[in-house]
Parts: sequence; structure tokens; C-alpha cells
Amino acid sequence: MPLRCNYLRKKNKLKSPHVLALLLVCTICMLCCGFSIIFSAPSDYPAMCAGCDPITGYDAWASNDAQETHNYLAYWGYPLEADDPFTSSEATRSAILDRIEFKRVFYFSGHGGIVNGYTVFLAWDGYVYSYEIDERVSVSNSYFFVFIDACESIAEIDMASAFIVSPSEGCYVGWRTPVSWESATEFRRYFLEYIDYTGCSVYDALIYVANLTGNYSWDFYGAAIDVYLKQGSLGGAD
Amino acid sequence: MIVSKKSCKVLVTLIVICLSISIITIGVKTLTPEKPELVKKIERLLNISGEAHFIFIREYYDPLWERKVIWIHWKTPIHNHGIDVKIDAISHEILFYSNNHKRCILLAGSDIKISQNKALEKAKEFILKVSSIPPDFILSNCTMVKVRGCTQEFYYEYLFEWSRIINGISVEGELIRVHLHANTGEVVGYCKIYHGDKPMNSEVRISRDQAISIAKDFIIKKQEALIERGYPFAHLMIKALQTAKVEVKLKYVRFRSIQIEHGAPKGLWLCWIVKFTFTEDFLANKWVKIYVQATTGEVLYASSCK
Repeated sequence: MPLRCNYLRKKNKLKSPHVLALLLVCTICMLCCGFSIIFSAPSDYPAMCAGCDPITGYDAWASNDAQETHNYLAYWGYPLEADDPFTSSEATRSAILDRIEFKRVFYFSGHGGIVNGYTVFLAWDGYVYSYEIDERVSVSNSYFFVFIDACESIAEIDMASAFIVSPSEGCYVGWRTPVSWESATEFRRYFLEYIDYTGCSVYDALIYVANLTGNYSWDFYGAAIDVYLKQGSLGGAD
Repeated sequence: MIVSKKSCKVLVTLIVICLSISIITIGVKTLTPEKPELVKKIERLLNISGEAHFIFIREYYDPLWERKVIWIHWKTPIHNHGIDVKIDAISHEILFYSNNHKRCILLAGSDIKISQNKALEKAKEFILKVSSIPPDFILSNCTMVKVRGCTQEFYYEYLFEWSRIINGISVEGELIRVHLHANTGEVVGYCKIYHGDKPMNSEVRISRDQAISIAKDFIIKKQEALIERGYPFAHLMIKALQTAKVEVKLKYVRFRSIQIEHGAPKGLWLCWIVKFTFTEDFLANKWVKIYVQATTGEVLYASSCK
């Protein structure tokens, strides 16, 4: 019996307040490390916004779309370059393609379509083909959120694939069919406003706006239900 | 009075427990907003389940309805889905309802179980429960849409639309829309936009052909001006216009706030809507709509594809 008592005393000594505090600190550190791997804040995702219309003269709409999206992203904490958004004649192919490699969030407002079997969007000085994005984006800089606010930007899957949007952690939003400037702008405006007010997922915002406008021409690829633009990845609103 | 060490300990423990309960209660009350009577009334009317947490109520001016509305927002535990209701701030009529919880693919199936007739019946029942169908409204659209669900699996929604009719001519911009889940038969969305104002013009003095010619001239002049201003691809549309398909509709149009923001006039206008759908290269399937006032021939608004 005395042996056992000594053992217990030793065991109790080990559970002194200092050791407990140390254990607690270690646990908190481990949890923080774990969370930082699972959850990412907006500040982890460099963003870029661009908009132009070199065909139909809705350039003011495109610029305004890019500016308003830029404002929301900046407000939510996404890092943006000082000269962002790139609008009108500044939204050139090189301005976009030179930066695309270093970003994780991208918004473009303008014309889009299918050319020679590739999904394209129209920069001020020419088409940006999906394969050109593909050449610049790798798994290490896969995108968190992309919205190509242009006609037929998700009619095919090649543009979404080019941005290597993770099917479980990121999402790509686009239009399946041709869409008018006012419908798209209205949609984008309500979409961002709803996310800002409710802190909801991209999916919930898409459905809400479809309900409000009757517009179901959008589609998405990836985990729209787990992408919380306001909070970062997998960051629930509540 | 002698108090033993044991009873002292018990007393302290009790005090600590009571204090903890009070602090937790105060904390929970501070974090959970109190539910106004209006919210409770809406919850009862729309059968919003107990597991939905009321998040906020907000009164603001909404340009879509051109009036002050009250927006109520709930969240549900599964997928954090939102439920939203917007009501007229004065009359308390329900203007908008969207229930993403009832759309959740984990709760509702993806196959079609409800017939269109049954769905229409349920949609009408819902409208009469929350509002009314104005006498100048007729059922104008019954479609089924394929929607990508929250888990990326597709499901189906019936979409029913009632539009306003004036002298047999339909009105663009005033409608009642009901979204019904094709698997559960439950109404998952509702939107009513009705102003009921009188038209600014109702006489047709411009013929269909004149309207087409006015619309064509308008596009060419606009594109030529853009070319002069250095728009690099503005010439594409002039070329594509030569082979474009033309559709013309006579409609009353109530321009939306986003269109008014970009130059469209306020009010209800009788217009020829001339739509050119292009067939060439990059512009294939894209279109331009020109709104020509039916009495004077003035171009009120131009809408174009992205």
C-alpha cells in the first residue's frame, strides 16, 4: 500500500498548476494551427477586379461593376493592388494575364463567349482564352473565388477548370447563356449586398438573387455552399 | 452563529452557480435578438420552423419595389441556409419570400414528384394566403427550371408567373412569381412587384416597320459614335446587324430602377420592343433590344447582352 500512495503523490505532483497551464497553452496552439489550415481569412487571398466593354458602349456599366465589387472585397479584407480595379482601356489582356498568376480571387465584368471551342472573355484589346489562364494558374495558386460576369462564361467547363477552383474549397460562378447588362448588374449588386448583410455562403446568395430577379441563367462549379466570401473559406456565418 | 467549513463551501458553490447562470442568461439574451411580434406573425403565417434562428429585421428603401420595406432574415442549422421575407413597411403585405432551407438537397429530394397542375394549384393557394392576385393579372408563364442544389446535385423548381395586362397588352416589369419545389410541392420562393399605375401613353402611331427602322438607325449611329471614340470592337455590331434576326413585340414597359439609373424614363410606357439576335462569330446568339415609344417613335432605352 505505501508504494501505491507514493505513486499517487507523484502523479498528483505531475498535475501541478504549471503543467496544466503548459498543457492548456499547447492545446490552444495546436487548435490554432489546425484552424489556420482549415479556415483561411480573406487576407490570404489576393484579389483582382476588371471590367470593360469595347463593343457596345456599356463601358460605364462594366467599370462600375468592377469598382463596386472591388469596394466590397476591399471592405471584407481582400488584398487588392493600388491601381485595382482595371477598367476600360486599362483592362487589357496583359494587365489581366500578367497578374492572374498571383491572385486567388478574380472578378471580370464584360463580354464573353465561345471562340474556336474555347471560353473567352473580352479584354479591351482582345480575347482572353481559357487556355491562357490555364497556362498561368497552377495547383499551388488555385483560385478561391472567380466570377466571370460575362455571357456564356460557364456554358463550358474549361474556364472554371483553368482557374483550378478546388471542388471542395473554392468556387467559380458564371453565366450559362447570354445575359443583359442590366440583369447581370442587378444580379451582381444584390448578390454582394446579400452576402454583406447576412454573411451567407455564395450558394445561398445565388439562390436568393435568383428568387428576387427570376434569373436562373447562372451556374457555379465548386463548393459554393462552403465559400463564405465575407469570412474566407469554410467560415460559417454564425 | 458557528458556520462549519463544509456548509460555507456549499454556500459559495451555490452562489457561484447562481452567478454563472445569470451571466450565461444575460449573454444569450444579448447575443440573441428579441423577436418582434411581426416576426412571430410571419413565422406562423409561413410555417417557418422552430429550428430557424431569427437573425435580423431591417427597414429600408428598396428600389425594386420603389418603397420602404421590412426585411426579416433567419438562418437554419443545416448548411447555414437563409430564409428571407420582405414586407411592405406600411401595409405589411408580403412582397418577397425565399426559403433556402426547404431547397436544401439534404432535406428535399431531387426527383420530380409533383405534377404541374398540382403545383399550380399550390402556387395559387400560397398567393391567396399571403396576398392577392390583382384583377388585371393573368398567368403568363409556367416553366420548370433545373437548379444546381447546395451539394451540386440538380433539382427542379416550377416557376409560375402572373403578369399585368392592359387592354390585352402585357406589362413588362410588374409580376407575381412563385417558385415551387418539384419534389416536395412546397413553395420555396415568391415575389410580387405591382405598382398599378396608369400608362404614360397608350396610342400606337408608329408602325412595326417604322419601329424596326428607328431601332436599326439608333444602333448604327451609336456604334459609329463609339468607333469615333476609339472603341476597338464597335464595328463588329454594325457588321452583325446586317444578318441579325428581328423580333418585335408591343408591350407596356415599366423600367426597373437599374434601367432608370442608366437613362430609361420612369413610369409605364407603351413600346415596340425590337430585338436583334446576331448570328455571326463572337456575337452569335447575343442580342440587342431597342425600346421604341409607340406613340412618338422616341428611343426610350437600349438593352444589350454582355
